[in-house]
Amino acid sequence: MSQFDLNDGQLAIREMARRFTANAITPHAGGWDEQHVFPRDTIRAAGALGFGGIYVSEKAGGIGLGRLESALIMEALAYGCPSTSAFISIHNMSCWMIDRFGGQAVKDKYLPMLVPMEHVASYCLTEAGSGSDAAALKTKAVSDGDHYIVTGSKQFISGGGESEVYVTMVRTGGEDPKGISCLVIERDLPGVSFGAQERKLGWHSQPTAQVNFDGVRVPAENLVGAEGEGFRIAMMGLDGGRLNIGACSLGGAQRCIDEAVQYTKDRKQFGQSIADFQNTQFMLADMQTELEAARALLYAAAVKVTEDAPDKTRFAAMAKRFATDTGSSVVDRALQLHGGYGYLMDYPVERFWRDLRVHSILEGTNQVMRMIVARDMLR
Amino acid sequence: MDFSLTEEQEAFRDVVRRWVDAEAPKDLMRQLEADEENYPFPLWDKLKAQGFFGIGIPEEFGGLGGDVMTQMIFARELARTAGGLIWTWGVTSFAGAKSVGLYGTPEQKERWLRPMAEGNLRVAISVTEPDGGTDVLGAMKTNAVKVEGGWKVNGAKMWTTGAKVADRLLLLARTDKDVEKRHQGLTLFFADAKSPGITASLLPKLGMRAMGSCSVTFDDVFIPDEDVLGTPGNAWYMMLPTLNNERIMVGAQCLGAMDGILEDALAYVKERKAFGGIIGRFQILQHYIADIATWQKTTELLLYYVASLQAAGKQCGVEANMLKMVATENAVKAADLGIQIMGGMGYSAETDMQRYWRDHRILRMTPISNEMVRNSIAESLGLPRSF
Repeated sequence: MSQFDLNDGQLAIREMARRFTANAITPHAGGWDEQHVFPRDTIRAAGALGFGGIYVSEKAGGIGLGRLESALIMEALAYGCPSTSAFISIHNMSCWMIDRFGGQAVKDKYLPMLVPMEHVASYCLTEAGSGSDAAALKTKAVSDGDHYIVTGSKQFISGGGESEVYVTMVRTGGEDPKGISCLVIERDLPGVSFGAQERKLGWHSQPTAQVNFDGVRVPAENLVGAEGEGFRIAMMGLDGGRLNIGACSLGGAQRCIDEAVQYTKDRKQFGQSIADFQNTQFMLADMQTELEAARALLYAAAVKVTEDAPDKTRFAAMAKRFATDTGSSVVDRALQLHGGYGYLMDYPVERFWRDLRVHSILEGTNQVMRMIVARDMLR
Repeated sequence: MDFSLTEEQEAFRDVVRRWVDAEAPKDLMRQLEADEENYPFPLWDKLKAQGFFGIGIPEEFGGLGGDVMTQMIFARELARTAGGLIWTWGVTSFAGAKSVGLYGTPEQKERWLRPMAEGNLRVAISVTEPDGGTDVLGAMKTNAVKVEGGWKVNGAKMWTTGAKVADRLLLLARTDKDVEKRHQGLTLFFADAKSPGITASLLPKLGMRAMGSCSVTFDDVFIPDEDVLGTPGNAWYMMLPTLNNERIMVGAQCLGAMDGILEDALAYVKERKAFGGIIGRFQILQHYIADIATWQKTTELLLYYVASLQAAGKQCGVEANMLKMVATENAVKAADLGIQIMGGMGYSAETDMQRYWRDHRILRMTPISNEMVRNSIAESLGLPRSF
């Protein structure tokens, strides 16, 4: 076994996630996409395997694994449905923030339902006026005795309207990043409301909506970390979120390569399989080579985040940028190899083409990833 | 060497551009495209009211006249907002009218071109079959057998856009199996789309959703002799001269899309603020915009060049193929970058960038795949056939 091989525990968790995907996700994912179904039952079933608290501590009910294990799980789930896998990633990121930085009260209140994914959590950072420039957020939380009163709006929130819990970055202080805090806000509190479901290019198996807070009274014990630590916590959450999103691209792209291999063997033109053409073979070879390179970088970055290495943020950003761009480029070529059939909803590739496109945009755009990497290189 | 438009062509372009802004704005096109179940009749009706279905159809048959340059200008301007929905116009007025105009008898032209020019006859094209788009001939199984007064057709077609709402199907079928070469023995029909035995089913797809692409089956469909276009058995040779025009139309559509993409991307970076100012001040976004503008200009030059060769009646098969490849790859790249420039808003179905991206992706595979284009460019340089 080389130092780059997965260990037995990692192989076992990957196998478990693959089997779950083959049985519970792959057969249904096309229908979820077409009908815009948010598969709560399937998500709950994934929760029963521990996938709702992958890197939540065992003390808090999680399975306490590292980021490489998480990437392996996300990659396996995304082989069936990147959109559902990505939702589970966002949920994990939110749970980890509560477990890692929250006080005992907030942990006890939410994690027992969140870890098994009986309830699910959304991550609320982006606002209509602040996407890449996330620290410019305007949602305000004003202290009022043992409560905060929260007013503002969050945009493009995955799970918006469906999630029971919203891990929300709010402004409690001045206008710089140090004026931001992290609050857990329940869906059913008075003053919480939701915009219409966003219509989007892909990611149809998870709802996306604006989340509005109108004078919502949130108990002060729901603060995660200290006042002013919210932005730092949010960014630390994103290190893991970025790895997971990259892993979702790896899984989706691998699925499309496998589909393309099968299709090009089966499809006959000019009296032979199109897999017999040199152009097809070279395309397939490039696709797999580039994806393996992305996978190697992502796994290395995942280990760095688990070990809290000093260059973990740079590596997570590089891996997210490279895995998501490579994933989309691989899927694009898989679609091309399918010809006109790739354009039809009867074949899965077009769904992956749409779903993976947003991975280059969210959890920090790939332009922001480059800013992070270059800033670290040039400082 | 001058690829600029004439004054008359510029005036026509301006008229179309103003009309498109007023009658076919992006918001309406986006709303129409998203509706998988319904053909974009509102666009059809507006094009009809304005008489645009007459473009390219001779005046003696009620059309507006005009050549490939006119069609190119029109397609580009319409595609700026309509993207793939330009085929609401193109299938009938460009592809359909071209076939009837070239091979129809005087009676057939009188019978069909006039209602087409008026927007009263809708065409769909049934050429490709389930087993082959690139190897169309190898896959061709639909056959027509001579019977008293006409032909009896059996088989199946794919990618018949608008089949459910068409009045006529431009149908390619094998009428003679006993031929030396497989491109012999094919016949083109202009069949009544409502004939008994024709069944169309919708193929939900990634883009150009409202256009209603269908698989169509033909079960003992009777087509009368007067609905045959040109000489039976000769269809393949009849279709070849129309291919350059088709490549030019695709080029014009992609260029029009790039016009729309650049317009939207530019407007967004000038308006959207981050890190204390408009995002258009960032160097990398300026470079992205510069790339899109350069792809647009490259495509325009090649398009004008090929169209001018075609209008002058010169050989341009290889150049038309190059245009098709460059234009389609540039359009998809530009839309992809446009999505990135707009971030989350680019992914939203409330904006047009994702529609440009979805719509034009198919053009890297149709009407001929860019891989097949590369094969034929290489072959034109004296290399042996590689497929």
